[in-house]
Amino acid sequence: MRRELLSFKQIVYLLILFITGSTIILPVGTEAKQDIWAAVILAIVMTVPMVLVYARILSLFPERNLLEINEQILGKIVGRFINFMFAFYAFTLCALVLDNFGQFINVTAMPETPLAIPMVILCLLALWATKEGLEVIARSGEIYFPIIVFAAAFTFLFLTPNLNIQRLQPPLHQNSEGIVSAALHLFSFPFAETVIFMMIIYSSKKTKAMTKVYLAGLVIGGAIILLSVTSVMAVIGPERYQATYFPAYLAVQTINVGDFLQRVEVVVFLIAIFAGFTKISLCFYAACKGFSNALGCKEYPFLAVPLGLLEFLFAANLFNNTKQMARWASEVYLYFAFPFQVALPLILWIVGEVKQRGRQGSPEVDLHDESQG
Amino acid sequence: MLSFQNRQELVNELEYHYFIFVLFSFFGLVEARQLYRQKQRKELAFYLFLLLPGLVFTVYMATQVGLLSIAERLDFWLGRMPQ
Repeated sequence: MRRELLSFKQIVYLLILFITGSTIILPVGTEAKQDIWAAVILAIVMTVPMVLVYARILSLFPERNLLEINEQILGKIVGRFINFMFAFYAFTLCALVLDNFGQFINVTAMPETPLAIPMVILCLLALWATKEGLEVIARSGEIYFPIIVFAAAFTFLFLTPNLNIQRLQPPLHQNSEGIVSAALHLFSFPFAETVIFMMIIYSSKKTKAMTKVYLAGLVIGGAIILLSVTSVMAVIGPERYQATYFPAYLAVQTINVGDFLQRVEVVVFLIAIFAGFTKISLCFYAACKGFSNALGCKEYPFLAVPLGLLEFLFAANLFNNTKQMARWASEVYLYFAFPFQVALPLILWIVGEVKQRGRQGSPEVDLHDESQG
Repeated sequence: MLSFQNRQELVNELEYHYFIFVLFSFFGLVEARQLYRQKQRKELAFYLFLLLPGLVFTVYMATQVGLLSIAERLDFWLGRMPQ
């Protein structure tokens, strides 16, 4: 299988787009109310140790991705089973994001169009991107990133007159439970979802390089989320933030500069679609790679069409309405994602460290070569 | 299970499911032929194993309105139907 290698900048851009993806449009961390900024900061702090674990696993086995590492340290049968589980997680995450964006487009732009139409279009784009390969997705990320930064800065600038700091007060007022709960939800969606990157990027030999990549993506992506959700909260207030399915869109609708600059919500729409496409493509790519590995196939692109159809059918049948989607996102997703984001990476890290120590104890055994044989 | 309320609703449902069915059938035919010619039999078997149930379910979805969602089914199985 040809290894698709990305540069430091490309991986960081993809991480940022992946983190901001659907988070920028959905009401995340609603339990924290006006203290949402504290919840985002706490979530970033909680994610740092996990990100260090992800980076350490990758750097323990240089020039390999998670799928190959699993096979190497757990054996073929168990390793492929774990790879199948990770592929299923990527597949489900892709369906969830596809559904989020289908609902978003349906509610905000095309209410008369069946929900399946925007979903199938996004799915076809992801399928195409996956067939073209990771380098193409990364290059599209490089093009989207400056556009998104410019559009977000433009939106924030014009949103400034509508910011009402009173809506963020009183700060940290008897709401510690809400902050912790919101931080846990933000940890699982979107920060720890970056575990998907372990399936698609090949590590370098240096631990510091992997840590740098992950931390840069997490900190910049986290800062964008912090700025975005805090400004949205300051514009529409905690009650409306909690009651709305797409609060960022609602906040941007309030922009009115001298009665001539209005209806700039299309900018949020643009940001969301670019970032969402990147997230959907990356998840779908990871799912194709994971399933092809679990099935013992050398190449993954042949799976794109059948998995694309199944992805669409899964996403189309996942929820019947936006309310159901919001309820599952807040009540179930945290528990569903925990094994993939925390438990399995921790187990892999411990097993990997033990195997690596054993390898250092007997220098004549080279696990790297052993697995290739 | 709900039924179609009127003919137009049925036509709308059939139209886009028909589009999806035709699109993926076409992709499927082209790629399956390519895999067959390249003698990638294992890949072809997995390809058809994943694609054919998808196509059958697309036809099934086209003829149904008010299908229970996966979330509702899971809620039902886990005994946590919403209030």
